[in-house]
Amino acid sequence: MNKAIFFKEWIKTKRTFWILFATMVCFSIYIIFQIFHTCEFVSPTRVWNNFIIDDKGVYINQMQFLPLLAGIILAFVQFVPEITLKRIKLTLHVPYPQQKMLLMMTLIGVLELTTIFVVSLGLYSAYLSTIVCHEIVFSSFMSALPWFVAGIASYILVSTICIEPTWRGRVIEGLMSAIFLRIFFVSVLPKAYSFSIVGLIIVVLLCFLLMLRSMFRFKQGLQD
Amino acid sequence: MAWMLPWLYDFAFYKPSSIPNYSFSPISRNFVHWEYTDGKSLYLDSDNKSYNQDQYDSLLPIQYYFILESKNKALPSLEGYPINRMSVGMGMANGSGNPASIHRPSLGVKEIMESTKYRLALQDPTQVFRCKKNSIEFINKSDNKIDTLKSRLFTDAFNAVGFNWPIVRSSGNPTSRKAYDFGYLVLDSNHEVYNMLQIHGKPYIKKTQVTPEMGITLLSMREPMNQAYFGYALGKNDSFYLIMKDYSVKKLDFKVDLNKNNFWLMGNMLYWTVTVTDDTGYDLYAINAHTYETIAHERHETPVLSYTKSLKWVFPCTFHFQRNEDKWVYPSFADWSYYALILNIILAGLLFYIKRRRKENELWLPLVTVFCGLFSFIPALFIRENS
Repeated sequence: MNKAIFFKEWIKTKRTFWILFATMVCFSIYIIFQIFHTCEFVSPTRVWNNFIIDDKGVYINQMQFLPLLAGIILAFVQFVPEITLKRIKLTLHVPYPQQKMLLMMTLIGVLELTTIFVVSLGLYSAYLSTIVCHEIVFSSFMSALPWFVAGIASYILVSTICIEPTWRGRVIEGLMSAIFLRIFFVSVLPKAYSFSIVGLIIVVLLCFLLMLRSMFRFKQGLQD
Repeated sequence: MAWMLPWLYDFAFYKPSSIPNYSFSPISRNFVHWEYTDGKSLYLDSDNKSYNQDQYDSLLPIQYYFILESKNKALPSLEGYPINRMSVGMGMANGSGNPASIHRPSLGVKEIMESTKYRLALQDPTQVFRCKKNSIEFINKSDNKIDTLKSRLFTDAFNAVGFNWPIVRSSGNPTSRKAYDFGYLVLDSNHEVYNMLQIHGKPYIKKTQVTPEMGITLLSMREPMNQAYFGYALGKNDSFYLIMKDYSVKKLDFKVDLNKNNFWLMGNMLYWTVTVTDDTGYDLYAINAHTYETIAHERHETPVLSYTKSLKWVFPCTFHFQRNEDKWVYPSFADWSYYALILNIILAGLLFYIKRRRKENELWLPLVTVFCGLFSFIPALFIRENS
């Protein structure tokens, strides 16, 4: 059954997945080219200097909002047809635990996003490690990590909003989501989230409970 | 709510206030400052005596030397010291620090430059160093490779002067845009301070006269033009030390705790003006730039803003992800206030009334509102039974 759910979700999202994958990877390659260009036409020292004086996640900050956008797009693609075409009703009536069903559906989205993020950030970090020392690579990685976690968070929260049956609930959840997502962008200083990123990841995973709440409300048939 | 409501309140009502820029006048022998209020510049001294701009320039004949010189009003000498372009430039001193400058993420590597000049000019750093448990390691920027020979040379040089590993803190200004380079001030695990220079690629490590009893925790390499001293150090009991050119240490007669205070120092060839701020006000010190003795001290209380006064009546606390005291992002509560209980109780009563009128039984919400106030009142209005 798990395999079937995964396959169903994959069929639904694979086109978006490959588009997002290509976009993010191309963006990483674009940043890599920028660094390569600086190394070739100025000097690697310039790249080092850019990182040493950096207080806003130099280079990688160009893709600051891209993971957020990727999460929102994937959530829409996966859950809007479920709601508008009433498919979710059928899905939730399959003889399979509903929470688990929703978890599986969300899990594939999270896995797809994680794959995209790991590949794009991995490409960038791997190239960067050939130019600068590991402290700088780690610092740059830590600059970007909150933005990528925000991508996962935006996916879960937008999915929650999609499943929510009432517009009143959607507006409240939308506002709360916007406030929560703002946390990931309050500082662009490298390593500023070192003390809080683990906690934020846990909170993002707990956001799944909100999704379950929306599902129960949907099952109850609540309307405006 | 606890995060966004205080932010909205700030956005609506906050008016920035700043501490005026004070300087010690060698003419009037007191602190003078200027401030910009209601579209007008005011020039005042500590007794609130008002001056015009020309008088103010004359009160600070070194600070405004170039302006006075253009008007042929510059003094030829003061207190026995000649005043000219050279002496004014050579005597300048400055420094600043605040809690956020020390509580912030660090990269983990620092640049190091050659201290000797190549063809009369300093060159930009070509290497960085990282501090390891029992050694120091140099990395070339050009090829990202470890310079093992230099790393060993410097590690051995540190060991030879009795350095206690690891490097706890280091401070330097690795830029070619300065007159000379005095390398790094390095603090070891025994609270002793060393000077590290790279001369012709070789290490030059010298122990300063800082003793472990001073409990030095923070350092700042300064490299002033007159080379009389080359760094500041902060130690036990919030003491402030100058590390002199001959590696001796001079204790200054004021206290700074950079975990709590903002500090800035502006000086000229005769006097330094030091401002140390805290939660309730600020201290001004005038320091003789030759003897390093405090010759004047004033304490000013900061008026409590109406914004701050009203804040404590509105919110029981505030919630932040960023603070002025550091550069980290993590959740924290601040500004706890019992005064807000009055508003909380009123809101709880109002909520109780609303819930009863709506014939809802969520009576725990008014109870929560007694403690959380506006933060729970607003969401509680949207929470409805069976919704």
